Parts: sequence; C-alpha cells; structure tokens
Amino acid sequence: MPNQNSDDLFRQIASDYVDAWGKSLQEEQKELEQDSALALHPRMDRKVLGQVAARKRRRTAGALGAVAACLALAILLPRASNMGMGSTSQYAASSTEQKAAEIARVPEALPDDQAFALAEPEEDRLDAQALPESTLEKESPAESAPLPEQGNGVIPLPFTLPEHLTILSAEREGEKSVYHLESSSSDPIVLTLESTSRFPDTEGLTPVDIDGQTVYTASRPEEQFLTFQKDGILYEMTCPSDLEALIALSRAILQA
Amino acid sequence: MLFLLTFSSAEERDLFEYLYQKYKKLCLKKAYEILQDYSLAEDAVSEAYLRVYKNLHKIEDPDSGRTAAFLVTITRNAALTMLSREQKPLEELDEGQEDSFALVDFALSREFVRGAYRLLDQMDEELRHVFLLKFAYDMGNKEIARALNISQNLVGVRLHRAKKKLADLLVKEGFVGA
Repeated sequence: MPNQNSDDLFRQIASDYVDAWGKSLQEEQKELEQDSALALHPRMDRKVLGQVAARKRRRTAGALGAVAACLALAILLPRASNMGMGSTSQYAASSTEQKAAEIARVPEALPDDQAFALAEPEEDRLDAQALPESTLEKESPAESAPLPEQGNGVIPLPFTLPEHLTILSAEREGEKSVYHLESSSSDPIVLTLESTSRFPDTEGLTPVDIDGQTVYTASRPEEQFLTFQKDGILYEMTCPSDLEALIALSRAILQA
Repeated sequence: MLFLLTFSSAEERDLFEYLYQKYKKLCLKKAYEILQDYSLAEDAVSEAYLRVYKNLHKIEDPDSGRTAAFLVTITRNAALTMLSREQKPLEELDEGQEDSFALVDFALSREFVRGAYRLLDQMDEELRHVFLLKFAYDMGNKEIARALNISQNLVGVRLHRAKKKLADLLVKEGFVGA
C-alpha cells in the first residue's frame, strides 16, 4: 500500500475503533457511577489534584517571572544604549538578559515543584542541560559547514549501510533525521541523526569501546539504546533487544 | 495578558477536575485490572492524569467516548509501564480480566471494519496505544512520547511495528491487496 493511502486507512480504522471502544467505556463508567459500594480514594485525590495545583502555581509564577524579565529588559536596555557604551552595551544587554533569566527562574525553585519535577518530561530537563553548550555550537565546524540534506530535509547517511540492513523509511522530525532500518538477521533499528556539535548526555549510560572510540549504551526493559557523536553528527539508535546489532551498526559508522 | 492567563488556567483547572472526578473510578478499575493492587493502581492513575493534564488540548468533548478511550489508553499504558518496572510478566494476567471491550457487541456495518477491529484487538497493547494516539487522536511522535513517558525513538519503533503488523494482517486476511 502506498504510504498516504495506508495512513488514511489506518486513520479510519483507529478513529472508528476509538469511537466504538469509547461507547463501551462510557457504559462501563455509568455502571461504576451507580455502584455506591466503591471506596473513595482520598490519597489519590490529594496526589492528583495537589500535584496539578502545584504545577499551576509554578506556571503562573513562571509567567509572572517572564513578565518581570520583559519589564526589566524594557527598562534597562534603553538606559544601556543611551549611555553610548558601544561594544560594552552588548555586555550590558547580555547581563540584563541573565538577570532577567534569573528572575524568571526563581519560581522554579519553589519547594512545591520538587515532587512534580519528577514527573516532568526528560526533554524539559535536557533543554536546561544543553544551555551551556550553546557557545560551543557557535564555534563548531558543523555549524559553519552544515551537512547536505536530501530533498525531504533528511540528512543522508554518511556511511555505507551494512548488507543485512535496508532502509524502510526516512523522515525528518524537528532537528532529527529518523531512519527506520529493517534487518534480515536481527532486530529492526531506528537510527536518528542530528547535525550538532553537542555530545550525548552520558549520564546513566555505559561506555563501550569500539576500535578505540567510545560509544554509550543503555539496556532498558523495552529497548536497547546506543549513542555517540562523530563529525558533527549526533547518532542515536534503538532496537527492541539486540544490543550487538547496534554495536555492529555503530562500528560501520565509526569506520566510514 | 494576565487576564488571559488566569482565564485559561481556570478553564483548564475546571476541565481537568471534571475529567478526574468523572473518570477516576473507570481509570482506577482499568489500572487495577493490570496491576492487581489498589495502591499501585492509584499511583498509575495519578501518573496517567498528570500526563493527561499536559495534553488537555487534545480533549474536545469531555463527555465523549473518545475522551474516555483517551484517558483509559493513557492509564493502561501507565499501569503497563509500572508493571514492567515491578517485573511482573504480562502472562500473569488473568485472561478474563483483560479489557472487556467486545467488538461484536457493536452493530458495525462493514465486514472490513469488524475485521480491522479484531486485528487491532489482537495487536500487543503497547503497540495499539501508540497506534491509536497517532491515528485516532492525530498526535505527533513527540506528543505521544510525552504522553506515554517513553522516548521518541521508542514511539517510532512501536508505531512502525504496529503499522507493519496491521498491514500484514490486513493483507493476510484478504481485506486489502498486497
């Protein structure tokens, strides 16, 4: 089936399925509502509503912080430029921005958020970790000479794919190029390439030496994960269970 | 701006509390079916509602069956994740306590649709969750990753496997040509 047609078909099937399943669930839910014998759940109520209230407070405080930051910028920037400081005005502006950012960050230190922070998506935390490296990116060779991209914006593979692997699909997701690879001898692999000088966050990962170069791996209940950086590209790959398959593919990339 | 923020917050809060009060028993039942432990089931529902809170924009009609299905999908996924953390194999589940959704109870007009439903029911539940969020709720991979608390790569893997599985089954059972 062509991709577009199959996606339309999947959409129709999924939508009809959810509608029918939803009706069944509504009936079940009505029966539950009538069943007064069910116990109340004060602990769950406190947990859910309390955590959401804490998040709400944080978001409101964050928004107020952002407003305060904008006001600070609006007040301080004209002053800096009026003083005719030339190149130092740049410093003043960045210093102001830092202060503004600090103001905006203060609400995040509220004790209420600590429990909720555990439920925050990982990418939110990663964003914060990536900040100090933005300076490095400006000076990296990858930044000055961006990699060529294919027509659909996907970064072409800068290595020869091993014979047992074939590309099922390749698509662009944000900054990442995602390749779905099928293997004739092992697990299917999802390989992502991101053009960046950023190195992988190796916390919690296990270093593995491949021909004198280090890659980082993790064995998780649902997937095997491997990541490394080479020539301005951050590689990440996952497969359901066969870490050796990932190591073999990374060897092919590193030797290219 | 602050007025808009406050208004939006109040709307969100009301919607969230409504969803919680309306569906918490249903979600708790569905989580318990998987975890067989009320305390763990409560934790799964708590986790699920936090994920729902981040995806409130996906809720169009809080009283619709689609919303109920969305909440149960997120809840069951949270429970399955907790179960895998507890390292209780899925095989321990009593067959009779699996989701009681029976397709034949509905007067579906086309054999094809009935067949497709049956095939979806056969699919591994974690694959089905990703498939439904993608195609029934039109969520992007990043949104699904956040809703299910898994990596985008894993979303891609599951989605690919779900599509391939369903496509293979549709061809195998003669619903569509190869």
